[in-house]
Amino acid sequence: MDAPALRRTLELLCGALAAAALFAIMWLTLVDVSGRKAISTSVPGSLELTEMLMVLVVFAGLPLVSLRGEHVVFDSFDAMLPAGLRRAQLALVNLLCALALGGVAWLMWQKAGQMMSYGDTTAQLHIPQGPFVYLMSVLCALTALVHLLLLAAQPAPIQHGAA
Amino acid sequence: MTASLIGFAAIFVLALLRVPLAFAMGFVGFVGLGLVRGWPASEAGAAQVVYETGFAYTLSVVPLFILMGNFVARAGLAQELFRAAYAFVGHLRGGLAHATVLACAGFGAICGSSIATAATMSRVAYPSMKKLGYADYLSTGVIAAGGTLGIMIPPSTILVIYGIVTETHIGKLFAAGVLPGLLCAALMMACVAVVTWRDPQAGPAGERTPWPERLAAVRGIWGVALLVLLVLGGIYGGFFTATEGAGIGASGAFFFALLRGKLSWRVLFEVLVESARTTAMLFTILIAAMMFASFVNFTSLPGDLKGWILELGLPPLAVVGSMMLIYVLLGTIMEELSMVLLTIPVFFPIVVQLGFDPVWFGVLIVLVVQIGLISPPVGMNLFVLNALLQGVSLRQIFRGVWPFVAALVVALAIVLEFQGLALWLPSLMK
Repeated sequence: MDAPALRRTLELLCGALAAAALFAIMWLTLVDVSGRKAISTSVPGSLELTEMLMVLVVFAGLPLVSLRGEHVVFDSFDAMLPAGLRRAQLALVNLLCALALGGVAWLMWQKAGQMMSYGDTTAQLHIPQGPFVYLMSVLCALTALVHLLLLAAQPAPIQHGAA
Repeated sequence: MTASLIGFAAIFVLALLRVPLAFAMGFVGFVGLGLVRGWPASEAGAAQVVYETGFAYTLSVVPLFILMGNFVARAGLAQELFRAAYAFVGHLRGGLAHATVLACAGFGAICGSSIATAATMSRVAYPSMKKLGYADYLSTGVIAAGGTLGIMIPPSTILVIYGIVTETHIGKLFAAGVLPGLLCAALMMACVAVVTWRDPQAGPAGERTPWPERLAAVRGIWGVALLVLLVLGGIYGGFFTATEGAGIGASGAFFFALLRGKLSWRVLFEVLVESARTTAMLFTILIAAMMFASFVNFTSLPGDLKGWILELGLPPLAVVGSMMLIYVLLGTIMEELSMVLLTIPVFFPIVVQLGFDPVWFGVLIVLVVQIGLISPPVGMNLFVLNALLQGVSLRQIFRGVWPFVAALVVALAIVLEFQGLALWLPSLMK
């Protein structure tokens, strides 16, 4: 697969996962709250379900943020650096991000293994939590991979703020 | 104490090397904790922070409020808010600029982001102002400043994150933002009046709108007004938690956009993914800031600083005032959310120790973030306008924004002096 196709696939897969999870949280909250206020029945385990879905929203969204260069950066000096130096700088930054995310992926993988061996489940619905932590790990690793690919491709970064 | 000062310095160096701030904070926090407490503790701590922030029910308030704002933005509401505001104040000198402030305030009641508010209003208000011959410095200045109302008038992303990090009641924080938000809007309108009084050419008056048309313009926005009332009123009245209110708000905004025929499957997908991306970006910063905080809290810096300030015996208000001065100065060059998250582990315990209400401090934090967002040379709102409005130079934008920075500094001084402005509404809550 060439780079643009790879990019589109990633946007579609992670996008669909994150979008579906967020939409589900919205409906879940609506049904749960209106049920509780109107007819005093709530969705069983809605709190736990929201927690699982939040993992998908955040961690499936992460590769897309990195892919689009939407992390908050301080880039006021960009114009002052010669192009060659900037290229080296961007490569270094992507390498560091990949390392950090790889590290998080590794930590979460360990944690998931631990939780699997203890058989940790949620309190109400008894959903095993380990697989979700594995998924966190995989999505972090995927984001690390995105930074390695950016290191090779180096598109122009877009700046964005958090507030 | 030295350890955490080195940590702060390391973050600045990494940030200057263009490492994303989240990664700089997380990296320094991890390595710092590893060096002072040992690597196994640092690894366990990092894994715990990532895990807990990922699986957090209360944090779902963040994407849900973002979703609400994005749905309403796509539904074309900003245009109608602007038209309704214009119908009432358009005939004044600088009427379009006044209308921009009012529309921003209205949009801020749905949207919790300053950048999104400024970006949305620039598409709606700038073309109208251009057509009527407004000077670019005035139109961009007022849009950039008005955008910051998005984070003071509830809902507010910054207040939600402040509430989560400091464990302050989010509903109370929202209630506290209302009056200071209106104060900011009023000061901005005063600012427009002064600017157009000195330079009448900058903002000529428009035509007066007759009453029947005014009422017609208001009719276009009542649906959303009702939604805002339901969500914020519900949270304020204790009928919902903030998280539940956010879910209701997002659903209401979804149906609103759907009924207006503005939602195709494609648009729905885009809105959802965009909201998820913003969420992921914010959570990266949040997780990293918490990792850094757990390092700073392990060093002696917060305790040393607290002891030192209490020993000095300064008047408590002077201490908070100096913190605000530091924030305003730092805010001119730093990204504001990271600035706040970086400093909260150090400042917040002092503020509480001095006997101040965390809700009031939250409002002050929002004010300094507002100021930081529009103060040159590094103000995110200014950059967003510069990116969106191709014909306007950054110099024009910088020139026009100064009066509004001054207006917000006045607002900051007023809220510092009159705490009741922030604390009166929350005090009425159950």
